[in-house]
Amino acid sequence: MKEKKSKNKYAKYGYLFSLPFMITFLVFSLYPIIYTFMISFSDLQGVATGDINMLSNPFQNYMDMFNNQTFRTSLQNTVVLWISNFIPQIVLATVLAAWFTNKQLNVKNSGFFKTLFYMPNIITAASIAILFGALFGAPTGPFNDLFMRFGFIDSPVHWFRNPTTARATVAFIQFWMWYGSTMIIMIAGINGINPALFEAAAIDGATGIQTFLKVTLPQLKPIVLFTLVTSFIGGMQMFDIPMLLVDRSGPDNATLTAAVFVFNQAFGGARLWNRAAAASVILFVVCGIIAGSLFFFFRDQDAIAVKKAKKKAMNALKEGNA
Amino acid sequence: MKKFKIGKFFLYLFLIVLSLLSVLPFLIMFVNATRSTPEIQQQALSFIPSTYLVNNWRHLMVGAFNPFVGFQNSFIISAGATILAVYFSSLTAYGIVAYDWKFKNAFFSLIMTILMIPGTIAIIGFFQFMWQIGLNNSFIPLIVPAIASPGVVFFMRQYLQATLSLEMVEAARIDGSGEFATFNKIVLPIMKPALATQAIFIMVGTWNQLFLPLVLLSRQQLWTMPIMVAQLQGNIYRTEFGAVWLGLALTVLPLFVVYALLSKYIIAGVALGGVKE
Amino acid sequence: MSFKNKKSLFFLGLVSVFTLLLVACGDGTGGGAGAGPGLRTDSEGRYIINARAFTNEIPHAVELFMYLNPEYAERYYFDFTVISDQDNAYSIALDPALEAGGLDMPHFFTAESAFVLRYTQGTMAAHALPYSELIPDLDARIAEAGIAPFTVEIGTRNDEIVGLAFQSTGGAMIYRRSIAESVFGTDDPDEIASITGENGWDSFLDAARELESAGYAAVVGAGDLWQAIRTTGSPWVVDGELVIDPARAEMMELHRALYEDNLMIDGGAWSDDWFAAMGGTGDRDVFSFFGPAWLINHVMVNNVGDTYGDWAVAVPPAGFFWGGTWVMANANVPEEIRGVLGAVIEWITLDATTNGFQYKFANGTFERALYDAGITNDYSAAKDVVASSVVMDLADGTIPLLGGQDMFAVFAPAASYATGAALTQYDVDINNWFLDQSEQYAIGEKTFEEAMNDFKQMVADNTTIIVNFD
Repeated sequence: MKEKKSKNKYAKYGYLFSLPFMITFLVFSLYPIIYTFMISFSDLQGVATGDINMLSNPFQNYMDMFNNQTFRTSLQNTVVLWISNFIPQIVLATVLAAWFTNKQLNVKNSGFFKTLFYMPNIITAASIAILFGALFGAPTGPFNDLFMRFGFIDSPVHWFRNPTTARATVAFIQFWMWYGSTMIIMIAGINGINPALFEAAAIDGATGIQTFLKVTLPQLKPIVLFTLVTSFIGGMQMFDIPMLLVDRSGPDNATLTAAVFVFNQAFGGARLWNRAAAASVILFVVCGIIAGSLFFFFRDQDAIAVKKAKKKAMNALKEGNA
Repeated sequence: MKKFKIGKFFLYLFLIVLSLLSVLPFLIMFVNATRSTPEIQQQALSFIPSTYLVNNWRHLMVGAFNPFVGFQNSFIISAGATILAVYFSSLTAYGIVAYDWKFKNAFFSLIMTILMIPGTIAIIGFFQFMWQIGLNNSFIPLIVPAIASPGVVFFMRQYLQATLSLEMVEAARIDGSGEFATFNKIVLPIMKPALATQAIFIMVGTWNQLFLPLVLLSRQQLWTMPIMVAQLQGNIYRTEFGAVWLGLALTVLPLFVVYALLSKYIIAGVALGGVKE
Repeated sequence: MSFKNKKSLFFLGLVSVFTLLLVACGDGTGGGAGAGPGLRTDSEGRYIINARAFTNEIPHAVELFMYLNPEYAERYYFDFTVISDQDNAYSIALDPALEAGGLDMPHFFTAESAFVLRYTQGTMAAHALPYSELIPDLDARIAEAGIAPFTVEIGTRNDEIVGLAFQSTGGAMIYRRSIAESVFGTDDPDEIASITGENGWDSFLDAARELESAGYAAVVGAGDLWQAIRTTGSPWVVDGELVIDPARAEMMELHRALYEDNLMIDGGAWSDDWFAAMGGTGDRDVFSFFGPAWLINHVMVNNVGDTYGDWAVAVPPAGFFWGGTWVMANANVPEEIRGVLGAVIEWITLDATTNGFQYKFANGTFERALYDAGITNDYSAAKDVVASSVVMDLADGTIPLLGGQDMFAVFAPAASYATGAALTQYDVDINNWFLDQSEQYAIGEKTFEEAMNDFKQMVADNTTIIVNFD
């Protein structure tokens, strides 16, 4: 009873500490978001003035977007590009994290490797785009030269002309830029697992792979969820590399992402602010529904898993003490 | 045993290949910074340094390019945004994790919702708003909004759930520490590894951003490094690519330093998760 | 214990530094405002003129003008913001600045051919100040200097001139003499022009096949030909509707022929292959490039290597232009700076004397003058074709890269074939989509109808242009 009271006494600090976030959000973000929402129902195109005229059919822009073949393509592309870079990324990041945290394996110079793997992330997307643009040059370029020398290909490949290779290239660059950062998060996740669980597994005589599958992976769920949600949200906004590397849309729109589509609507010659805004709102809703369901679906399971794990850990500890 | 050794050999080989892939772009960047424009145009990538470093530097120093001003501006913006983001996100996360209040869950859901808003959506409204209230040519719109960084709050919350012991907070209270002081003196130090990890992420992001500063800052004395490098590419009829690469290399150097300083936390690793000790 | 105190001290320090910084930034850096209506002054009391450009050319020209005219330099200072137009960044930043007005309003700005119509005739045209308010007897001055008509056409808003270019970017076919000699038996520009262009692009294709059988490529890529085609014929948009000029539809067939008959090495403009072809160091030697004088003097000159002197220019199969910088003033510029803006604009765009900017630019002495004035620390003697035909008559266009040919003999008339009528403010986007689909057709991924249809779909989905699908 006493505890409850004292908690209520401190509740105001919860509000107080969240206040700077709320105020900043209200001042700097809310107005632009509402503004965007408003212009998605308006006729604002060309010169962006302060005046907003509502359309007689306020949902016209949304209908335009639903009927817009290019927008649908861009949404599909975004999902395809995200999945094809996220799966290898999370797999590699998890495997590396497991290696680096495995005391038996005892990888030497792991600090050195960890430091290097994150490095692609500190270069600007513009530099990376120039760099890979040159690497994948066609007909003459380093990769073409290399692959032809080894006999993988007979004639130069025009990487950015074929939709599949263009997508693969973009996905590869995204993967390469982000696996290090995901690895750091995964290592953090493994570090957060109660060491008693690993000790218990060792006592049970589990092999490295068994420990990884039975202890590490289930315990990592909340972190995988974190990575999944943040990467999904980031992936749905993928912009820099597709924009800079393959001239905005890629061959036959193969690498046109939703964010690039929005950019083209808003900042192309026609400056279609209203349609760009409608497309953004749709993107937000789609993103919210998918991320929200990911989040809640995994969260319930995760809470159960945590409870179970705790019990198991406590038992293990008790046994250890006895 | 032997099998294990072969396995380890391949493991190291794999790690070394990945490392090379990571180093490659930096190597090319620094090598290209020493090459002349025609050399780069004839062959974009090379591992053999050339002799045009001084010449590229001279081309770099023409016009608006002033690395000292650029560094200073970039530093103010990225250091400001990073400090505000990690500090206030930690504070917000602590407010969510350590206290029970009525709208706590609603507030956290709101943060998650904000996280899902596509960056491009608000940018149109954002820069028009900034122009309207006269905050163009000011660093405020580039620094202050970092206080509300939903992704960082999310991360910090995960971290605090794993590491924060409420007993410790309670003990501090008994010692007569105020809530704010407890946060600053006890909680923040616990969060150091998480702060370092997020600080790198945010620092890199703000240091490299181009679009927003470009639209907001029209006065050259306010320009950041990426804007200055981008304007080197400005001359479509005759871009000095050697100078551009030198500019890009210079831009990334300070990040190297910051990264080197903070990387020990990354190497040591933070602990994240839903399981408390 | 002391450690902890140090920490909080450090933190306090940081917070106060940032508060100070924010306050400092908030009231606007730079000198005092309120010197006049909507004008800033610098520490020396000079009016600051906010200026925008997408390359260094005009900023350098203005700086030289100020150097040569100290009476202006004493009272005015041009504060240039140079933003490259990659991914529309220049106009994205310029538009809100023009809209917002106030102290940061750009007073003077430039626009490239790719987006100039946006500011002279399109969405933002209301912000342009007619030249007649800055320069007396404007029409007479234009006639006197013999300014290239297409540059005037592009800079005209409802019969009022609001922008002029200093360059004339009419294009030519730039070809290798030695290859011409060995395949066609002559390297004479007139004869080559008739061999490669007598019947337009059909002649060019025939010549290209001859080149191919002799082991050469006609061009690096289809993009090179597109440069020469995109500014001919009808504009993409007429009365709000998409129009596909037959010349552009033909581009798709040309593209396919180049691809199927191996007439190009299939590389992009500005790629390694493109530059290698200039120096003749690629796997297959390339016969020709299409471009204006700046392509020769600013791009090829650095890359020709051993082929220096082996080049010549000839009249292309179709007249075209590529690039160009138009100079403009804001309609709302305060009275105080109109005088200097008029003087600068006149010097850049209309002064046809040997003291004018264009004379220096044409003769390749502009960069040297910058160097002598201490504005740059390097120079070349690049000559270029300028808008004034009077200046062109005074200038000497012989360059050793072209084996001593007088390039002005080809480029000066090229300006008259070039037309601004084929431009719209949406061109950059539309051209990208078209070339993309043209490629899909060329490589056999799509039929002509499919490619054309997908191109139209792109236009319909990304613009408000009315598109008729047949």
